[in-house]
Amino acid sequence: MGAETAWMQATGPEGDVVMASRVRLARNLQGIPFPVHLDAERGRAMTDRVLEAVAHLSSDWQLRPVRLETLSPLDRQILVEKHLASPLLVADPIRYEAVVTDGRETVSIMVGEEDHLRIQVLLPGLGLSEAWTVADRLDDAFEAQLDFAFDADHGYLTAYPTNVGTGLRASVMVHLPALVLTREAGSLFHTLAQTGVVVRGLYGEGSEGRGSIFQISNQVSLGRSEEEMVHALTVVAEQVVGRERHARQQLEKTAPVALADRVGRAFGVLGHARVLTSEEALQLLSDVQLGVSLDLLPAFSGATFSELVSLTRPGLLQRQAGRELDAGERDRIRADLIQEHLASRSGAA
Amino acid sequence: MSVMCERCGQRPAALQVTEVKDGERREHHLCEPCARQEGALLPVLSLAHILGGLVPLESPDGAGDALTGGPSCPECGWTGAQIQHTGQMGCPHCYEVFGRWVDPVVRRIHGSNEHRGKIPSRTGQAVRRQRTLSLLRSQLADAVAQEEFERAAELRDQIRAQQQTGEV
Ligand SMILES: [Zn+2]
Ligand SMILES: [Zn+2]
Repeated sequence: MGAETAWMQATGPEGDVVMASRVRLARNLQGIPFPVHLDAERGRAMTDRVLEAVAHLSSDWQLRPVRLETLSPLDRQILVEKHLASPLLVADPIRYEAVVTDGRETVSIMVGEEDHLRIQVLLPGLGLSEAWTVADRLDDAFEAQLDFAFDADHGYLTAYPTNVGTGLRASVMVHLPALVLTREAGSLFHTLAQTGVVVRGLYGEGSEGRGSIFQISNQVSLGRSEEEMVHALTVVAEQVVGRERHARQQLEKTAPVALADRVGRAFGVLGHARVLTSEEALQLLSDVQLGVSLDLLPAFSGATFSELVSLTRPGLLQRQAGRELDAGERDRIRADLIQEHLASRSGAA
Repeated sequence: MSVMCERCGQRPAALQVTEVKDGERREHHLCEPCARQEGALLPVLSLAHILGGLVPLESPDGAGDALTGGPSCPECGWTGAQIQHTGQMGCPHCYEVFGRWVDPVVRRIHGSNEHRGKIPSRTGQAVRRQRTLSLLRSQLADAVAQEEFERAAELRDQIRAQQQTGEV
């Protein structure tokens, strides 16, 4: 599916629940205003300085810098859909922003977002401590060339005081269809919120989380070491995995017919629909994936759940189709593309 | 603040929220209750925008010494009013200039005012040395208390060596 994007195409530990893990480090250059207060000229000088450092990093990192001004709006949107850039980074007006990615798109460095640098490592499945190890090494490599703003009490200095200290935000992207169906998700999130963990729906508005896909992240970045933070969120993620698996088994035990009916209907509609909106596709894919995880349905062929979910996003869909599509065309092509990956069971029904 | 909440129109807006939708930035002005009802926004809001107005930024000693009337940063020119408006600092040096107002907020957000994570090798050299020194000093105190005088002598040499590198 185009350039390799590891978190989308591979599966990792606890992959039945955890789609991806991310660690992000916020860093800023000493003596230069934060982007909120940075004019275009000094901003360009900042980006030049960072990209020069990138050019001097070991070629083992396989880093490839891209200035956003050279990208089409579609390509910018795709960066967001692949989670390599934030909506804020690619929002107009583009001034001096850049993104640096590696060959497998596990590393992405946003230049000129809220902070000068946001070093991110994104891995499939639950792998926060592996992601931290990579981010730490990359940070060391930058640090050998760049003077990062730092003081003894606040640690790394960031534009928002919410990110000072380690500048670290760890997050996991999780698929929680059973916790949503059994209505346990709300109280679980409420409990998590009280322990300094933020949960938000990844797609769509509000906290219902369309497609039952959520992002769980740490709130606090100061007062603990990076390892402690990463460990704490890993423990939370493992608990969430346990709760979701338990809820899946409960559904199977207490409502086997309703469950089989739901995932079977989703499979049927995905297999035969000619027009699919992104909302509908997301919900149906989520239901089918639940069925797959419980062996009620055959696995998707030739694509992961994460990859198919990405087809509900307009940018990646158009990339996959190889051309620009209007809204009506998108819904038709989406239906066709998803069907290709359900082919293995057509005729069995 | 005189701007009214755009959602209810009843209360003065306490927060300014930047929403990015379809590649465009939009500013929203919300009161706190309305901000809470915008569930999805809240996690970002309550923390990232805490400086934007949720917390009244007056100096701990009170006396009406508000951030907005305070100093501006000599390095970047950022003002307290701009911090209040955006929730962001203007440059790294702003942390020193606005520390009296911002540090209590930092403590409230993180439950701590002490960095215990990574120290950069270049800009953190002095801090690294201090951490090493204070570790050596506490080990020395232990050694003396335990009457391990050989170990104490070793530690004393190490401390001296550390202090000398610091002077270079
Ligand atoms: Zn209101
Ligand atoms: Zn400043």
